[in-house]
Amino acid sequence: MHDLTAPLCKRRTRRLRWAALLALSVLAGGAPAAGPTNSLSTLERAIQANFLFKFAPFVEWPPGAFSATDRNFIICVVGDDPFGTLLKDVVRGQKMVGRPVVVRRAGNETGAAGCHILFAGPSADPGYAPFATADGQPVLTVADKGAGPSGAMIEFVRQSGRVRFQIDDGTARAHGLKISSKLLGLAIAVDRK
Amino acid sequence: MKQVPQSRLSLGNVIAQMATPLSAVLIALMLLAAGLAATFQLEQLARIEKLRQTTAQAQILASGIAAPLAFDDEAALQEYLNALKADPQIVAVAAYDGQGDFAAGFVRPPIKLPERAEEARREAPPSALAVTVPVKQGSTQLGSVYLMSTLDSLSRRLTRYLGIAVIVIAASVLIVMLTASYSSLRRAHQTLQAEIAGRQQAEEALRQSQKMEAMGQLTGGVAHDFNNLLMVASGGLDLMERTSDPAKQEKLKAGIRQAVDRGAKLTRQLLAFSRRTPLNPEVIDLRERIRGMDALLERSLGESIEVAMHLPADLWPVEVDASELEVAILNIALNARDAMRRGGTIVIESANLPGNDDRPDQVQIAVTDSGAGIAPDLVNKIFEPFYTTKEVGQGTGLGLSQVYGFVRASGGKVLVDSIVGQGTTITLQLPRSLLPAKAGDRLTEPVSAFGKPRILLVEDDDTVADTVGGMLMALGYEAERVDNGDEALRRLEGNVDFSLILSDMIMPGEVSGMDLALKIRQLWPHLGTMLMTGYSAAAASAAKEGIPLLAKPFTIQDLSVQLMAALDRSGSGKA
Repeated sequence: MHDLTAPLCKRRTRRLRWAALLALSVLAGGAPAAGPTNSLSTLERAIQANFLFKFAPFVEWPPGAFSATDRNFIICVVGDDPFGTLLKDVVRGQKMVGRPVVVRRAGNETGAAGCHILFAGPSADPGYAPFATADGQPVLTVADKGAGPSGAMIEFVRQSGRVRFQIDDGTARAHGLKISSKLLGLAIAVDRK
Repeated sequence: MKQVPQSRLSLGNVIAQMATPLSAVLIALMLLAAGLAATFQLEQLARIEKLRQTTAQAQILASGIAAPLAFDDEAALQEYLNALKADPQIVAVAAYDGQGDFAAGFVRPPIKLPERAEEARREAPPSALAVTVPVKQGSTQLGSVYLMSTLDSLSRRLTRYLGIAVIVIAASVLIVMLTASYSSLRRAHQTLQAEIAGRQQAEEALRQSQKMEAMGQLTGGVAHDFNNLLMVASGGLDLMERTSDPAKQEKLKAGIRQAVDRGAKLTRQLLAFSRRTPLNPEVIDLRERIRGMDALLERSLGESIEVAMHLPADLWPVEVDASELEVAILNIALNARDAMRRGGTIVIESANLPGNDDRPDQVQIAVTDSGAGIAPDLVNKIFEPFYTTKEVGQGTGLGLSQVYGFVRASGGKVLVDSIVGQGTTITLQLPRSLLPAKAGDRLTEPVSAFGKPRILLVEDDDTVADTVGGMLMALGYEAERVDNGDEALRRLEGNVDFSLILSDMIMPGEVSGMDLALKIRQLWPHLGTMLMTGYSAAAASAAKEGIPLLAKPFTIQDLSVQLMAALDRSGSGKA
């Protein structure tokens, strides 16, 4: 019997694919934003963009979260956008609960209204409180623990060089979101309070 | 009545015709084909079942690995996949991500894993089942799972079908063997039946010759006796002519009548005795039957032998062939006579033997003589056919063998008890019948006709015609006589003014009594016919056609009763 824990060569292909995706997006949409985000490797950013989209199938929104007027599934990015075109490339052509997935840049003012997933990037703004607008709303808030505001339901963390995440299930439930146990099981830490 | 067993026979024949070795082989082949078809069907079902099982396993796996696959947790992914190693039939498992790239898996050589999800869909070796199931979370496809499972090995599958194969083959062999044995049995049965038929014919012939033997013994005595009777009759008539004293005439008439009655009785018994009839058991009253043999015994045994009968009135009935019984008793009596050279008494006794647990109720008839007796070493031989102690020409040795044959055929036993010099007792034990005995013919008063019915009497013999004509007139009928059948038909063509035709059977001319009766039945169906004859063979043919018959000689009582019955029948036919 041969265990094939994705043989090295193959694993490499997958990494290479991420790199290719990254290169493509750089070519197509220009360089990612400068600033603190630079501390993230582009590979990590690509993986985060991919994860951000993939969280959606493991989360159940209350029926009221989907408006009758806007037929889209909206991923909002607030603060400094670390993804550039990476996220747009990931969601292109994808659908979630039967709705086309779109990425929207949200300012501090517009807040989380209409968003289903809100990713908060880092910000130099001292009054930066991206999740305040989402308070009480069924919005899945995501942030990078190392380079973003705290208090998100899902926070990206680095563990032995890999992108993982931890989940605050208590907050998610308080906002009417149900996170699948499969996702919880994969998180490195779950806050269930 | 004969149709029923024939149709049953033909059905049996059809089945028997079908049970040939060829059809047995065909049935066995069909059975084998059915077994193969069933096996193939089972194999297909097993494959479908296996596919369903494998798909279910793949789906469970797909559901489990959704999150690890989506978020690149290879350790968790491998853990899920490795769980399937426990099933030795699963030879390859692989997970592919959303882009169709290989993520993780394991494989047992010599199987190779497809590199990409698209390739996985195409590969499917014949001895294995491969399924590809999408990994989905909600409506989003996150990748796919590839699962390959081997089917059971050939030897394992063969073992599974071994039971069916053994049953099918055993059944086929059984069918062939049964048919083979059946057909050989059928041949043996046919041979046996032919043999039985031959035996029956031989037995029939033996019985008849046994009867004829007894007849031979009888004839001498009977002829002598008849001469005496005729002497009485003719002498009586001579004397009647010479006297005019009515009292004397009356006495002579009574003597003649007695002689004639005895003669008639004797011939009737002789005819019944010699008739060639199949065994015809009927329930009879032994007392009545044996008593009825008095004249026969008296004549055939001679004057030096007396017969004493002790027959109780409450004897149980038995079911035997009456004429064979009479022959048997006569044969025993003849033997007894031969044993008593100086004359003596033959005692015929009868008694009921109530049964017990071991044997049923029986009736025994014992014939005892006071003759020479039989030596003990010969007792066992006396019933053997053709065994005789008599001189050549005196006996055939068939007499006592008839007795033995009759008693065995009737379900009874013969016992011999003999003391040399003192006498012999031969005892017949016959099983009791629970049915009531058939009432014997009783003498009835002559019945006179109502009105004056006209009878056409067809008889060639003038004396008989005069006698019967006289009887008819005495009974109140109006009779017209013609000589033969042709004349009778001519007379009837002129005018059918008769109530009944009474005809002799054997007559000169082209139309016999039988022909006449059949012709009348055809032309004038309402006209009754009655035949008279002294021949037993002719009587049988009349009985076959259902024509009423008077056996000659008959008394005026017989004639009156039979005529009333025949007129009644033709009258009801008219209505």
